[in-house]
Amino acid sequence: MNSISEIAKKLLDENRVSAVVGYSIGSLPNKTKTVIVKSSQQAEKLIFNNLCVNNLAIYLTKSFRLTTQKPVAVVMKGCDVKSVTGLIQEKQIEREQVFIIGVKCNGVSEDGKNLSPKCYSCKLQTPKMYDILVGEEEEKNIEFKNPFSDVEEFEKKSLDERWNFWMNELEKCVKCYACRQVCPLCYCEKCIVDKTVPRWIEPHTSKSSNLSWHITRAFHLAGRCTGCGECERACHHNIPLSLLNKKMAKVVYDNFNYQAGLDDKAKSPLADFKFQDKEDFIR
Amino acid sequence: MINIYKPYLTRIQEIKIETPDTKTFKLRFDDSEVAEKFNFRAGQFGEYSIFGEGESTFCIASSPTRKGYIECSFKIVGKVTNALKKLDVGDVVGFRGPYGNSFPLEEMYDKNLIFIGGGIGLAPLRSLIWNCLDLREKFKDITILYGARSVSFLVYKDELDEWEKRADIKYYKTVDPGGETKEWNGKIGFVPKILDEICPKPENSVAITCGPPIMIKGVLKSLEKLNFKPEQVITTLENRMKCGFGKCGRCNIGKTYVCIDGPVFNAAELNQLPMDY
Amino acid sequence: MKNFKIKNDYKNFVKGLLSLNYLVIAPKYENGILKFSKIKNAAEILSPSEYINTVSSTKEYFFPQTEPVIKFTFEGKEIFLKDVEIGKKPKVVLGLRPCDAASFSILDDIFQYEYKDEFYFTRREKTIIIGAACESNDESCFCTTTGLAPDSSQGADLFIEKNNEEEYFLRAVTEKGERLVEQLIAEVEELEEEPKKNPLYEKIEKQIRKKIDLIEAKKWLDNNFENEKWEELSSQCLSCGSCAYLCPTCHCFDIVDEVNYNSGVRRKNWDACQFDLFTLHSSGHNPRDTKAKRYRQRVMHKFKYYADRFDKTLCTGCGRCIRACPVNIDIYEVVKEFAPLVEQN
Repeated sequence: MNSISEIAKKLLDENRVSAVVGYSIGSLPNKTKTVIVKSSQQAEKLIFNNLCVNNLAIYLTKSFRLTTQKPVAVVMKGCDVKSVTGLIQEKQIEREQVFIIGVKCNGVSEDGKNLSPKCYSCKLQTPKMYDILVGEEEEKNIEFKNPFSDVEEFEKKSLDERWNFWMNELEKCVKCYACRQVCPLCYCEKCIVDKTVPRWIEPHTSKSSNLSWHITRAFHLAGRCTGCGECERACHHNIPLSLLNKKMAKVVYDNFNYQAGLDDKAKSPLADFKFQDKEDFIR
Repeated sequence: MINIYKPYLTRIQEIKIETPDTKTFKLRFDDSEVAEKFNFRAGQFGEYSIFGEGESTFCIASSPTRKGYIECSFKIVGKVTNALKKLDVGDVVGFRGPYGNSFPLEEMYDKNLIFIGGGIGLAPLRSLIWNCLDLREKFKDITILYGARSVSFLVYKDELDEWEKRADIKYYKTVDPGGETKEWNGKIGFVPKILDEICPKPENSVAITCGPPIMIKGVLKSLEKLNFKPEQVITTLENRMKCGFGKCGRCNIGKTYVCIDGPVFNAAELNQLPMDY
Repeated sequence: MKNFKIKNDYKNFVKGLLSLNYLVIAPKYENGILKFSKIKNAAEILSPSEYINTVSSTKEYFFPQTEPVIKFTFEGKEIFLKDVEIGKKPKVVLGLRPCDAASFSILDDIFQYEYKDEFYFTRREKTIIIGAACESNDESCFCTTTGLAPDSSQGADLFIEKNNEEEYFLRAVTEKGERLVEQLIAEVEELEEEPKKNPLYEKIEKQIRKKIDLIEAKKWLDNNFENEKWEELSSQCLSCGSCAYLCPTCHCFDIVDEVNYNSGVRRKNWDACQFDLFTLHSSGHNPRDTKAKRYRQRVMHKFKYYADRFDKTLCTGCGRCIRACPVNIDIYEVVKEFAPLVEQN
């Protein structure tokens, strides 16, 4: 079996890619570090293990000005590839611009102990799309969870309980925008929160302005968020942003039978109109 | 508690439309005590605000020798300047300042002064020019070279005419090639090129320049060729600022806070700064 | 300065503090995270042995994330300004680790340089800082590099330590601190002798990441404004504000107006040098338009520029930026790239 570093070395030596984005050993025992490898001498750094939780699709929009001449290679798990699919769907990148080094993933961990929450409902141990595949699939010894189970559980609560829950959670937000910066689908050149004429969202932190920020972001991601969980992971104040995004995903799924990031030819329901679309919201 | 963030209230006394995108406000302090006491030096700047829109940084464009009011000229580009342009005479503008260092006026006594300005960059020079003209006998020759991209983008037109007519000033005006009109009687060409033509002598002279970054770069090169020492060349930097008093961390260039240590620097000081501006 | 023994347990001491009508701020679990919050009763308090450090620093109690600096109302074309009141109640911030307590002696310099920011200093004057020595550390801690240690009391008014018999005692560091303890006679008792050091602190000091020579680091920074390393060191950065917002010494801010019909407020909001909009001019020019330039600014400001200006390092080694960075940019490792470790005997 080819290791990731061997593949990377070959790709760089043969001048087939301009860089390889992957994981290397982190500075802390429970973390890995992203590396952007540009020469084959550095390719040895590349690793893959259960700490490789980051979704590297982010580097396709935030670091590279992609050209069709030479693609960028990215190490990707099944869940990460969904973001690439989304970016292709939304015409942010072209398939040929990315060389996907797919890895068979047996679940990843944010803290070195517990399986990442996103892994419990993952059916994509092998990525749906790749250019080369590495790793072995192992039997995942966990109980599969319906991706919307926590949303369904949450929906059982009363309106007041839900409101209070979110107000308490969102109050913690310090507006560092790590959630936005780490999100592969938050690629707007000018984010709504940075627009000043007119000012849509007040930049200070308060319950109400934090709420407008997170609600607006969740709306912008409806039908687009692939559930990679990076926003929640990046939030050092542990705001359960995935719950918010999953709620939107569930609404889209229930109404349009659509899940984001699975088909690069599909049109996102919020970017498309069909005659059979429900119009029961018009009263 | 002394609140360093609290602005003075000023009122617009006069509005001049300088160019299609530039206006000048003449502001008078509401509080007569402040109006009386307020003092500044040419080269200093302030934070001007529209309440509800925010603050914006401009130099004080009037001369400290003209008491009782201050003037500011601004180009309409961002949120605050777009709101400022809509104001009328009698409207309130907030003002904090004066901030920053200033032109070394006293060191310029008995010297030949060469002012080189471009576009709205004339504003800080104008403060100093009038300051020097009001104390004319303290200085030797005064040369003014001013250019803009086209005739309609020349600011302070009435004053330019006045300078042109004065016998105690050598005045040159220029517009970028293509920016001239049929009636244009000035030079045509970029400011650094005209500067080369004028060929000012460095002996006992100080050159003071301000304009768009590309012009300043060219002017600094020209002056170097003309054998001006870096210490004889003075400019004023424009960095994004918010607080104006060395706290908010936006205008740092290395350890230098442009808002406190600047905005006026000579070329020797400028050469010491890292390329972070 | 005097030392005082805490007579009963730590909670009783906090009870005493609360009875003096101070607003007590201390580490507390709230909505799943440990942060400095208002303590309502002594039962909520965590003893210094029960935590390593909080997610965010204590700077927000002196330099809040968002702070009104002036209020205004409109009446037709007239504008009326109204000053902002700062809470009058005296505060005690309790249980700060040395890395947080030391941050104030660093921040004081910038907030009083040339112009005194009274919003910051009014809070400083009204607040008593009670530090607590570290009884544990994690892999991110590197306070020794910045000249601190698990038991350094720098910046605190009072400092809580354990003696070698595992009993907590209070070290008065400033007169302000001593005056506070004197009001707590029921809870404390003056110690005649200097308490014996608990060996724990030395042990922790040894566990912390090895000390980097910051003098050498600065020498390198002095000469390497232009260096391709900056590109390499920042390549994975995503330009979020996690590091700056959690940092006890980062102090950059924005000033923004907000309006609500006929009244409004001008606010000072935290800002961060890693955001690309931070230095963007309205002309479109941006002096720090790349991640490499922005990251260089962050490192330079902390380890060179602030030292050039105030002779202090703008970092206390708390490790928060390291813990929080979503892509594992580790400022300790970064500095170690260009500076050697201090040799230890």
